Amino acid sequence: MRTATKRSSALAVLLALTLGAAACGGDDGQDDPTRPAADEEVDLDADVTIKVGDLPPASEPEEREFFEGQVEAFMQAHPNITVEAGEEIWDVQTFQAKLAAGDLPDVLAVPFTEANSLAERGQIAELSQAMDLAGVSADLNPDLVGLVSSDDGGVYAIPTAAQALGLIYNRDLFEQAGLDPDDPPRTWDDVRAAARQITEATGATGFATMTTENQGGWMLAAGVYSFGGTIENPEGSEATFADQPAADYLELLRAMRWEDQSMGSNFLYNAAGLVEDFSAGRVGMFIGFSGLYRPAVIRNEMPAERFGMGPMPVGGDSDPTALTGGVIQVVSPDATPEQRVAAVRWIDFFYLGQFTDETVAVAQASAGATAGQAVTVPERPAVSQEAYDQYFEWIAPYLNVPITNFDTYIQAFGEQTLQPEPAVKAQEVYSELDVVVQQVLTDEGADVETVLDEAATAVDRLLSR
Amino acid sequence: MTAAAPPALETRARPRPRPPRHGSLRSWVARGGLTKIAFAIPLVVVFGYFSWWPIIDGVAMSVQRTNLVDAPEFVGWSNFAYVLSDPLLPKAIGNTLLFAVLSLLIGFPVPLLLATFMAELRGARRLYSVLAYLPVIIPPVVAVLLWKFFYSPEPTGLFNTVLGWFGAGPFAWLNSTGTVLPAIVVEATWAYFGSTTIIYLAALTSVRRELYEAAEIDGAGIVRRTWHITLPQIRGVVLVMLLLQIINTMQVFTEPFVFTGGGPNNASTTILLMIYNYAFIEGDYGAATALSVLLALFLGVVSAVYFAATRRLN
Repeated sequence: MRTATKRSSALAVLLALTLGAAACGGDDGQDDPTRPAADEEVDLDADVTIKVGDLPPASEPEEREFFEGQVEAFMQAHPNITVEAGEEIWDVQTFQAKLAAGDLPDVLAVPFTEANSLAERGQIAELSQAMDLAGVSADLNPDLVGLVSSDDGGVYAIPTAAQALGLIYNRDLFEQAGLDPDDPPRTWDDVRAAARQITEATGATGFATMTTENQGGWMLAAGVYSFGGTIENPEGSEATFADQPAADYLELLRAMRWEDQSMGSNFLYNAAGLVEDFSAGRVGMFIGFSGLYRPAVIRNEMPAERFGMGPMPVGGDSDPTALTGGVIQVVSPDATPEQRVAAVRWIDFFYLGQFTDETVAVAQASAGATAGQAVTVPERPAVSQEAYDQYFEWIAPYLNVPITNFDTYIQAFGEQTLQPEPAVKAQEVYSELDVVVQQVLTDEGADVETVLDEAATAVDRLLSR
Repeated sequence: MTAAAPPALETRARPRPRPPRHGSLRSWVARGGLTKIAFAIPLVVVFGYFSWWPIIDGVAMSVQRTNLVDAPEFVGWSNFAYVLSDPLLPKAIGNTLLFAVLSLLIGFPVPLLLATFMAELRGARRLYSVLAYLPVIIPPVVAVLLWKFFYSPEPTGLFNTVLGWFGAGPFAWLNSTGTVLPAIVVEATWAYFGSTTIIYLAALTSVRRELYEAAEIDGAGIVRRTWHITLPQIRGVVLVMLLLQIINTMQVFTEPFVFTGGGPNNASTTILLMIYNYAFIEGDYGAATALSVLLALFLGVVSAVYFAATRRLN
């Protein structure tokens, strides 16, 4: 009894200490660390060192050499800036740990989908002042910059590669099924018919979709937008997808899965797994971004001529709408104002220099072609259309991607509305939506409306947190 | 009366030798106190920094809201209220318990039976030990990816092909809410039974041979020998292994994470997967640590009850 009392007391003391420590760590009214103070003087000529990530690993010697050469060239052009390059790449798990340890590189490439969540959590630096001071030479696409900006004018990242989701298809399977590979489906009804035809003629899965690792939710969001729906209200405080457009899209998936049997038997796909099966000729079509050409053709050795990409299918009477994706460069919130300026200069030089400097464009394309990389996959331009067209002219001799296979995708750029990610907690919402897609594809008795209502309740709870 | 005390009492009454003086620093040093401290320091520092401090920090974080950049904000019990009201929690608890029960049903007897069988072997025991331990050498993620291939839902998948020879299937395996957990348990059993088998084998070497010989002379077969000699003799090890298995299975993460990400329809979402999602998908470290603390408390209670129950059994 006595021992028990002693133990309880010890536990109580430990708990009290812990709670005390927790309470002591309370907010002491510190200002937003992602923004430098407005009146802070920034010495542009001060010596500064920045750490940059995404140095290619030693297993890619040509690209690594090129990267290191660019670092040298940058430091010669900016004698007061020292760049230390490391191999850190974006990884959702290590990012958080490194952030906590104050060990993030100052510049890191991050998927577009993460921008809002990171900015909301204050885990990336605000860059508008640094961009003004550094004077970004590239003519950035204002639509894309708008997607990484807050309502009060804060800019949280610099987009360096942008893509719109579209329909990726296997041209060989199209031919085997008697479909025209130069005229991919434009509407979801066309997709359904083509999927049925591919499965009947070849036995392959006609259409598949990612369903795990938040990518299922991402694809569901793309489908909902293509039917004219939305995921959240503009304030990001409420789910808005429990309505007709989402129901229409899910009904389409349900019909393809259970009536047409054209969606195969694997419903636990992430992007890597789906691309693997697609490259092996086991999947006819899926929704993805053009950058998936690289894992399909370079890593999984799919013959390049079989890879085709068309625009995002249109649902019902909706206007053509494509969800955006791509790569942004973010800066550590721990970076000093001087480091932020240096970081922006590096991003402008290394990632956007190819759009303003022919020498850089040619050197990068040549190094990429020599290393057996894809030169280059068509994207939504991160810079103005003129700068992007000029860039393609410069690198024309090194192109090794069959650009004509993307013709319909590129032609649709002018007609499509670019749809940004949900403004608040996009990844978290996608995580909830994964389950919606899985349920419709694995449970024949699933009622679409009930499934959507349940997911909306879960998302509302998430958004209210 | 008092003058002639018996010799035994006299001895008892004799004052005890004086105990060494604990209070003296010099004597403490002379007894090797500094050496003890020197030996203990690295251990305490390493454990303190890498184990105990993170635990305390985790408990502290469970009552805070933090983004790992700004100063954390004390939020009281709200993280606990948030995770306890998560509609997914009952399902994750159910899945975790089901996983634990299935693991016990499938995974607990297999190594015990194998070890008993292998202990009966004379010549090839080493070979069987190596074969049994082989899966443990394969990194868990690699093993899962390998089994993912085996569990392909296509008729051409490995298991479906084999079952197809007997007219069964094809089965959806990981793609069905009904079969996903048993499928993961079978893989986990395959992956981990080797190390448990080796531990049981080691325990079996401590069982005295004479007991078996006597039983054999009395005409006992292998089943009776196992039931009446082997199991009672290694009961201590079996009970500890059972507790470790319960604790491990309640914390299952790698297999559902790599196999299915918790799907389909959250049918393989476990408590640890929820914790992972809170932390790394939602960036909600308060909720993640709150659920971790609850799980740790629950496992602490289970362990205490288990020890009390087994002590009574003993």
